[in-house]
Amino acid sequence: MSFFRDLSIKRKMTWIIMLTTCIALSLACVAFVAYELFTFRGNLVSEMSMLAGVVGKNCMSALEFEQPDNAENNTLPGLQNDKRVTAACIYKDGRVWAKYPADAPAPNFPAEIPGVGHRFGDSLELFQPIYDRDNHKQIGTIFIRSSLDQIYTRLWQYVGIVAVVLGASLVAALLVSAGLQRVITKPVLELSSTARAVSEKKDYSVRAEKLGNDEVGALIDSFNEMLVQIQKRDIELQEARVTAEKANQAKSNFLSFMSHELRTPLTAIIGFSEMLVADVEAEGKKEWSEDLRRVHDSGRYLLELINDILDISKIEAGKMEVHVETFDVGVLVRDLKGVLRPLVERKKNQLVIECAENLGDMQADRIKVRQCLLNLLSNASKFTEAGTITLTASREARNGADWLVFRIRDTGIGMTPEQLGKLFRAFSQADDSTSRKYGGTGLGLALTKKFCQMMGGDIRVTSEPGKGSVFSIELPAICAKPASAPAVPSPSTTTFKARSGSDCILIIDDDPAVHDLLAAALGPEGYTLKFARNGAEGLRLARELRPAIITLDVIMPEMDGWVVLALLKDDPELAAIPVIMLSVRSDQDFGFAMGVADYLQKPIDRDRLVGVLKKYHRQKPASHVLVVEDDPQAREFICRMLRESQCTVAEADNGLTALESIGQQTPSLILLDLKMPVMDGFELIAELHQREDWRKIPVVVVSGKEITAEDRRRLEGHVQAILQKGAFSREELIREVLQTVRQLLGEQKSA
Amino acid sequence: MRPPRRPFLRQFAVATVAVGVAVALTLELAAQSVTLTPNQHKALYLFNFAKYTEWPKEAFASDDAPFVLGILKDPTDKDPFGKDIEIINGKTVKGRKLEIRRFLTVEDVQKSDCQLLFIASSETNKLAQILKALEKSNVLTIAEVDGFLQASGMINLLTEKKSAGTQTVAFEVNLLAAQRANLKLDAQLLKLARNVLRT
Repeated sequence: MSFFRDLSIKRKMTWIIMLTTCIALSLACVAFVAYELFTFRGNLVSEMSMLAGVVGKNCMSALEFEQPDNAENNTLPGLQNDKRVTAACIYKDGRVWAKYPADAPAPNFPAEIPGVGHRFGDSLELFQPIYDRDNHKQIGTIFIRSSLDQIYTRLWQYVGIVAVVLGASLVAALLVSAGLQRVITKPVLELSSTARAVSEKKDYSVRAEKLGNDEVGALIDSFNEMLVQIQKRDIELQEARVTAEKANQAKSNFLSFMSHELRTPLTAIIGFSEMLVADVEAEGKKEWSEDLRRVHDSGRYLLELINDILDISKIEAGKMEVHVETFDVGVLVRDLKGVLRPLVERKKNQLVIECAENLGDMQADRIKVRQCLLNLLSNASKFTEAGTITLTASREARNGADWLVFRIRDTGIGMTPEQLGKLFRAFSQADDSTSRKYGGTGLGLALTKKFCQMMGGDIRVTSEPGKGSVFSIELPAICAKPASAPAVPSPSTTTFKARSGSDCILIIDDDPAVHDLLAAALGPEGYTLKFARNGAEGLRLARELRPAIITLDVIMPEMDGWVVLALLKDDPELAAIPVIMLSVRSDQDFGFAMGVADYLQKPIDRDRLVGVLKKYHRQKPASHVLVVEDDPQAREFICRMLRESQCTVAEADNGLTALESIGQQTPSLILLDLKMPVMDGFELIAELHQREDWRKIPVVVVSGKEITAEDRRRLEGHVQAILQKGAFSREELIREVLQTVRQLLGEQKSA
Repeated sequence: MRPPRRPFLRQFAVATVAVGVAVALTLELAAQSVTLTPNQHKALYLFNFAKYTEWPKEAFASDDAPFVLGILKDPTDKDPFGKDIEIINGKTVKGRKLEIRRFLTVEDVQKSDCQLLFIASSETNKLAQILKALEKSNVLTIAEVDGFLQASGMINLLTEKKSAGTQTVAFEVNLLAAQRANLKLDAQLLKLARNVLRT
């Protein structure tokens, strides 16, 4: 039955029709054949009894005259005219008196007369009395046996005919049903194919064709009505989605706009307040400097807050992108020290950085890694007073892949297990009193965790109240690029690598304390420092990095400063690099004879060192830089910084004025904001690209706008570097700008 | 094709068998009693001839007149059937009682109503005269004499010897003579005749 259930409706209809036809026909045929058989038998009996009557009558006189020969020879042979009769006889006085055929043996005939009548066996046997002429006394009995072969022959003929009729009827029924079943099945199949089309192609605009007003017609009507409603709902949903997308787009635009609009003035507030602090301190007005510092700190705090909120909202909108680049982990970690120094010093904390030697390179989002570490370190510093904050970085092999593990340990107030539980949730600090006492939004840790997870790693924490906390960040050394963020060669990567070029200062000294000292002294000045512990390493790095300046200690184990100097001056590619000797000994004359650029005696006077370094940087010819920035404060600020770096500066507040300025004097570098009125950065870049001579002007993008992967694609190949205002603190941004400018100008020069 | 057994049919079969057995028994008894002599046989033939012949109505004096079977013989001759004729005496033929009478002369026959006349062999010499006399009277004439039919006799009995030494009786018919006497002989009778003269 399940075979039947699974048949198509078309087949089912055919089967039903065929079965019905078959059964009806069979019944009719059986009835017909049965009736025919019955009639045949009746006819046979009546014919035979008639025959028996005639023959019996004809034998009457022979019986009466006792002449069986006469009956056998004259009367009974008449039966041979009827082929059905196989045997016959006449009984007289209970015995066989005359036989047909005359020579038939006696056992052919029933020995006894069962009585008058007929019986059917293998053949029809019929007994009939013979009466005498006058007084109708029975004088004998005639027996006739008739073969049923004729009946059977007929019967078989009928069976044959019935079979033929049945077959023909079935074929006819099949043909007719093939035609007629369409009346039922066509609308059903139509409906079914429409339903399939709808479900497969998700096309709700198709309609089933209605072929009649029966139940299937009603079903098709309902189905179509359903489709209409689905389609209507789809359209409504579509509209709703478009509306929602527009709203979301508007929100994104708003956020992007806000990030730009909020950061630009804040950058100005922070920058100018810092300069004012420096100025005021120089004039010795302590009471003003306190207030100004508060302004500065509040600005910083506000900027952090805005950055965090924007980051969180970006993560929640799924718009946070991971820009994977390759960078030196050691450099990144050591750079943190300078950035954090003010914060650490304020709480009288000590920052210890322990870097394993094998840290090497990492492929990850450098800015996010840095932000994570900064978050954790500033957090540690915030909750620790007069203690030690230790950052340990190491490279570990796990499961066949390299992982970088950063451990930040502090000796601060620590946390209870309860507080640990809600630590990484956005907008929740250990408790409300914590935020009142220590400030902060509580967004930092949530962000850190998200960033780590985005880069395929995680963050863990252990803590004990009163003893301090340990935060561990574990990140894969090679961070898988997320599918959503296409691999765009990041301009900042180029910048970063090139930073190890002509602009950096190579410090060759065996004393790590000197390294720290110089890092502290020169870091804030915007120099990139590279350190070597001995002469051999120094020479290798010098060849690799081509530093702008080399400082060289004289007394070093294995290979002393003079040997290193001689080797440097022997190498035609390195000979031009100015070398500043730093030594406890006073061998200035010898030094100058050897070709050193300057000679400083330890202990080193920081200002003098800076001055000497500036002297050798100043040897570069002044460059003309065009600053295109619509915000006057930001523009003014950047211009001042550039002028201090011995550049001539031109200003423009949008793309059009920038083009005018370029027309008057072609700059050697353009610093470009992206978001501006009248003509924005993208348009300006397109314009520059139109002119053969302008196409070569290097462009550095400095923008408060969120740079998306799409933006990066648009800018790629047209700009030398992209610096995001939001990704750096003010000092960092300035340092980045200056370094990029110097490096680019330097390259131009050498080219 | 045997009909299924049902109570009715069974009863019917039982009844049929019972009736059959009864009939068989009576017939058996009858067969035992009918061990006929040749004369008795011939007597039955005479009776049967009466049955298979039709007489005109005027052959009988009245509706209740008996059917007269006459035997014509010379008084010196012995009776052709003797007592064997009694086997048919008193039987009914055509609704009439069969009566056997003996005649000595043809005149005796003519004087009385006689429908069937057996002429004994003693009268062979006077056959032509006898038959001539009875020519127009409605009398079926029977004899057992060679040349009877040629002498215008109607039925002549024959005795035939069969292979087993037994004798059977047969007869031959002069149809024309019977028709002249206004008698109709049944076709069944003619069928049995060894010879039928029609001219």
